[in-house]
Amino acid sequence: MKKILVIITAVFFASMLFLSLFSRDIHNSGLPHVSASRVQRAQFPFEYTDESGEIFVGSESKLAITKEQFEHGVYVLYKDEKNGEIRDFIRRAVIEAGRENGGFVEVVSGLSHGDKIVVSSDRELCEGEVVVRD
Amino acid sequence: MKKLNAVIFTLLAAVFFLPIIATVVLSFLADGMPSLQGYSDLLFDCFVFYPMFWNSVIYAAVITLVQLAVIIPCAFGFSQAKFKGKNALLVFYIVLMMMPLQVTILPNYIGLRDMGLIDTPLAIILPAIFSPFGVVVMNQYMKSIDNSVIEAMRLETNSVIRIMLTAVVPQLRVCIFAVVLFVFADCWNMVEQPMLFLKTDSLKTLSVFITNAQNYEGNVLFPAAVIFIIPVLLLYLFFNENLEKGLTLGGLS
Repeated sequence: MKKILVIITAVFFASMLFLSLFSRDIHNSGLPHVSASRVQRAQFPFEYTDESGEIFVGSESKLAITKEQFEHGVYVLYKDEKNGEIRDFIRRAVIEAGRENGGFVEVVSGLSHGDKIVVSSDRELCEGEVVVRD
Repeated sequence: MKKLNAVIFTLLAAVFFLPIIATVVLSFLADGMPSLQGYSDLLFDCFVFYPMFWNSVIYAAVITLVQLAVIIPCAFGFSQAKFKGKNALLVFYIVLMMMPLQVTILPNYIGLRDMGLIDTPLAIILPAIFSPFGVVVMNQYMKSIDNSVIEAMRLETNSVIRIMLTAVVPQLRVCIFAVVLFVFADCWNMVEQPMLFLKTDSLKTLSVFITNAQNYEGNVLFPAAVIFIIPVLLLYLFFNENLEKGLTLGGLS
């Protein structure tokens, strides 16, 4: 009986030690792995007239995403607390598109300067899920 | 009459055992269906659980071992030494033992705060080391041990520590196991001290985790409670033969 108890105790504490060390890696292997970068800016032309009525073409720097990102949808990475820890979550951004120029689409609203958007992921993403940032 | 006693005690045992059975069964249910989702949420999605588990193990083990190092010489002194006020001091110990935690926790907090030990592991370990319960139990048990062995050792050596370690401690084995069990269970279950003396979550214990289980996502309460039961249950199964002897033999003297 004592031998069985010793074995059960050893197995219990060894399991808890193993899980303490590796449960996070096991959990993370089941999560989507994403890479993210800050929303970039691109140059967009605009027209303006001076006092004499002459039309000029200028360019301004605005927040932009690629056409491909606009077509597939954009996920924004943000941090929030879950179970006592800060983790990375994703939310789908509702983007109001503006001008197009050179493969970029102007972001009129839906993203802010400093937002990190998902550039690539190893699987399909869902709104509100926890992800692992590479 | 014997059958009636057996039925009554079986029913009483069932009443006491029912919450434990309910905890274990509920830990394997999710939305009314059998599932390991609770254990998955706890072990693979609630990583604050692990530091708290190991804190409980470390605090309980350290307190138990250091308490033994304090209790045995103290009880030996009470049983063998002759000095004025010995009986009064023993009565004082018994009164201290009977004081509820709520009476001593505020002076403990003030003392620890003044020593700068709040939010450190010593805030849990230091006050728990000096426990009157173990001294009183061991002192009672020592009255039943064979004094001729102590007298024989006194002929060989003057060292009190050697007499205690070679003549007394081997005879206290049964009582030591019983005291270890009680002290470990008491330390394992403490909730108020970690909640009041510790601020950092990484220093808190598993009992605090269970108290705050509703703050965590998923059905983590019952799986955590099951894991909480296991170490004390294993310790009890190791030492249960010595428990009854350790606590009653002293009383028979």
